[in-house]
Amino acid sequence: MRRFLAASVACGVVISGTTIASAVVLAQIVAGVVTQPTSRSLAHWAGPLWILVVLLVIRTLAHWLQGRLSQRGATAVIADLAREVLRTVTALPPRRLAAHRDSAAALITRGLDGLRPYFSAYLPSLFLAGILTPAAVAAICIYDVYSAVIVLIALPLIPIFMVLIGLLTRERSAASLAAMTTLQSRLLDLVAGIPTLRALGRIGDSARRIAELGAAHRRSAMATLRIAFLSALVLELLATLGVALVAVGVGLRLVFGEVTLSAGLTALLLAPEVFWPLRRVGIEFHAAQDGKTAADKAFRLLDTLGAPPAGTRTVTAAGATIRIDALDADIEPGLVTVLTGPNGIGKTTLLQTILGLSPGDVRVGGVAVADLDSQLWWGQVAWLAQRPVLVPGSIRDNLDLFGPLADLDSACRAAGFDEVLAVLPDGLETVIGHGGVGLSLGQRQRLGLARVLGSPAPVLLLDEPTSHLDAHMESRVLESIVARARAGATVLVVGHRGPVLAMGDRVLHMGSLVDA
Amino acid sequence: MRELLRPRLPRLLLAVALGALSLGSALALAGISAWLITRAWQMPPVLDLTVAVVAVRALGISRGVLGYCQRLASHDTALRAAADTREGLYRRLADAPAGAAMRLHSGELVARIGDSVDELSDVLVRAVLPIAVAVVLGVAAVATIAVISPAAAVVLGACLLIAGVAAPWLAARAAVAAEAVAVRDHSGRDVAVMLALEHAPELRVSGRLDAIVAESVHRHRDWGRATDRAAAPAAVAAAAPTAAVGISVLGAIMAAIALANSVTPMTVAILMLLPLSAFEATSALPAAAVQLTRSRIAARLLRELTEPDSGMRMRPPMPPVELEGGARLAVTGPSGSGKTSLLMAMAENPSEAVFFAEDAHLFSTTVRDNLLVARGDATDEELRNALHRVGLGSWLGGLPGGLSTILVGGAAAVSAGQRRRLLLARALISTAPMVLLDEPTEHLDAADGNQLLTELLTPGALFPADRTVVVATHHLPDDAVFPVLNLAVSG
Repeated sequence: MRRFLAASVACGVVISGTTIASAVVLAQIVAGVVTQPTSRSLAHWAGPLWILVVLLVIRTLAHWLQGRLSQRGATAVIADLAREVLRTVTALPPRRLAAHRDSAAALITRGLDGLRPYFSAYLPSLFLAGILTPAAVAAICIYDVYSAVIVLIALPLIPIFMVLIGLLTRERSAASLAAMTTLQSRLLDLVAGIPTLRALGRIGDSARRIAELGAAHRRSAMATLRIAFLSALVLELLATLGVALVAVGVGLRLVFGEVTLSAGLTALLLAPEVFWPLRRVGIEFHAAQDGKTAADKAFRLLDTLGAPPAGTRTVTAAGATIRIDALDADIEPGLVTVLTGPNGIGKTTLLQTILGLSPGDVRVGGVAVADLDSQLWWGQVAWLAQRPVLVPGSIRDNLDLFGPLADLDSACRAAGFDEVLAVLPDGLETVIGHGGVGLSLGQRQRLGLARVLGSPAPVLLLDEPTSHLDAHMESRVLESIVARARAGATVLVVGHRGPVLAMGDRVLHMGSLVDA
Repeated sequence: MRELLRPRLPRLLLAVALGALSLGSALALAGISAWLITRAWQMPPVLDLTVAVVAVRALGISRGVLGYCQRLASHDTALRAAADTREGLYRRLADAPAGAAMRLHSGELVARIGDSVDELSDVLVRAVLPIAVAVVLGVAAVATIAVISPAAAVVLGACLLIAGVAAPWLAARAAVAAEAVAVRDHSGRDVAVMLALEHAPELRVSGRLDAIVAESVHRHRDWGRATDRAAAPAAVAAAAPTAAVGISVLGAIMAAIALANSVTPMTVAILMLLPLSAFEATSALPAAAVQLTRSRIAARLLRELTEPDSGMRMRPPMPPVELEGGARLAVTGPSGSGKTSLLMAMAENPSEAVFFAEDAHLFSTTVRDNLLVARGDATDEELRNALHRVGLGSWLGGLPGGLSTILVGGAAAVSAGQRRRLLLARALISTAPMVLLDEPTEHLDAADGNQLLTELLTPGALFPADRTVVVATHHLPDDAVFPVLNLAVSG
């Protein structure tokens, strides 16, 4: 990012230098051809003409280079910001992640792309305004102080008027902008309602309404624009009038021989170079706003979201008891513990607390989860989420997603996924889409189960493992789960239905315990 | 594009005239300034310069003022054209076959209509106008120079073509290529991002998150590189005008040196300095070319919207079921078995039967207006009564403005269950002899759904006994005692 900015500034310096030098040389040539009849041959001006050609080539190349560099810079900056936002947001506890997920998704998939015009058009024009404008004023000063004074008077008037206009019109333009947005959304609302209005036989009224809303929208939009265009008017007025006054000033002083033709022409040629970078900033400003807003949001997100401190202690989970203070309960190895309770009471959150994803008091073998080294702890846990993650790719990719399964066949049998494999057209090589498109809910659940039951982890956390399975399949899966517990694993299952509760060696009722 | 967008020609011509006069002021300012300074160098009586001095000052003002007028005129034209387009589009969608209108349920599509119409009308302000102004000014500049030196005029003309045709063509090509890249590579990138965001906790615990994030970064960089390549012509287009101005100035200098002994010094100065200001109008053309491409895409999207979609899943034609007045019927069957098609077929005549779609629209307006779409002359008492009967009595009581409360965002203002009940209240208010309800208990919990279905299908409970009620649903209460048509069984 810094390198790109430096290169962009360097291009701005080169463009400014060649622009000013070209104006000076051109003024010399024009003044010379006009004032010295003896010099009117190409041979006499060959040197300056070649200089002009070289300056032109350098300036064109600098423009091209700046264009290329700014596009590359935009790409790099967008990718870096997107990565940082994605890393930061995905490291959040689940509840906070859910709160920021939509805004982060909008930022990464769309918002940050708006930074492209910001970097490829707005920033270069801003640099040029910062370099060329003062440099051109200084150059005018060298050749003709009087013209420099005119320019220096006109120049500060631009920001002063902009601010004044902004202050005077802010409320009005905000009001008409709000009115405009409302009208636009009402128009779209009527369009969205077409099928409903048709079914109810009331489409005629609404077509008339669309025409009325359209006219009202135009009136309020024009009210906004009449104000919004004032700043462009001031910018153009001062820029053009500034150049015109320089021309008149130079002309009137030439009559009395107070200035030479070449100095006057130099000032006249340089005057527009003072103003046009400012006008370009004004033009690019609006296109860059979306990107800037997105970048601000991204930085705010990165600033406010810090990663929670990481623990360092380790524990051997096999055979260890998991103590849950909130429920005053122990989850013992070798037993199936079932956690039940009404929707929304926080069963899923409790699983996340055990994992150390959400805050809470849970101890594994006497060590608080918050103090554990997460990676080493997670390596000993197999967790079945309510909606197991599925990546686009083959069934085999998905089964091996959390690490290759040692015994794929028995894992699939334990989860009842073997029946699914038998009906899939290409078996393990069947390709599924984003979010498991191509598999039914029950099939997705069994795939997730196969992945978890196939893992050698000593701790199993299963969030409603049979919610989408029929009774026959449910009992088969529950048998596999019990078998894992009998083999020594610590098993915690969240569930509602009778067969799940019946399987539990212990049943924890979450709502009632908290109430009691 | 022309069939969708019909701007009013006199207004458009006024905008073009104002634009040409505004930029013409800048060109004239450059020419007269050159004349003024060279003439002043000859030290004439000051009175000889008066006209030029006044003209330069006037042009300095008129350029900005006329530019302001042109902006207002062109935006007014574009907004009028957009309003006309929107109205025409609305009428066309309203008259289109049911299938085309059904697609409007997608919020994304509706937003696209708004964006596309704006994009389409932008063509007037950002493409048609600048192109027309650039043509007028280019011809004026070349003609002025041609009077002095035909050779310099040829060079200027060629350079104007580079800046005004070649550069815009390159810019538009880059825009099209970038669009294609976005379509091709965006989805791959976004899938990885969404995967990471939706399943971050699970991926973290299983140790896969870093790999998925890396994958998304990798995709992002691929996309960035492709975008860079696509944007390459745009950098050339950005540099081309600089070269064009320089070449035309060089040409003018050479022509001026050759002519200098046979014309006045003022003419020499104008010849050499005018080309510098002749390119202002062409500087807007690369953006104009990009806009032209975008507007064409927008026009295509809008046309597709009103044309029948051949790729759409055709609903199988269903023969309507003959029912006696006051009958009750539940239509069941798995999704895709044609429940909705059957209901729509029975709703052919709106004065006899009204179809209440599962995904019917809630307008972003008052509760009252949302109910009145079913029958415009219903009294507030009738509306309140209907809301009570569908179980929204306490909800209504809790609303700050009662029936006048605005549902901001339509369906977004209520829960899924409340939405279902509001749509049901609409059906209660309508007076059509036959009411066709598609999945009226979707999103209600099982107990509520069963109770509501029973009430719907029991004559006299919710609907009076003389009205015919047909309900399509995919789950019936176990103790159902009303007539059932199972499409899965009957085929």
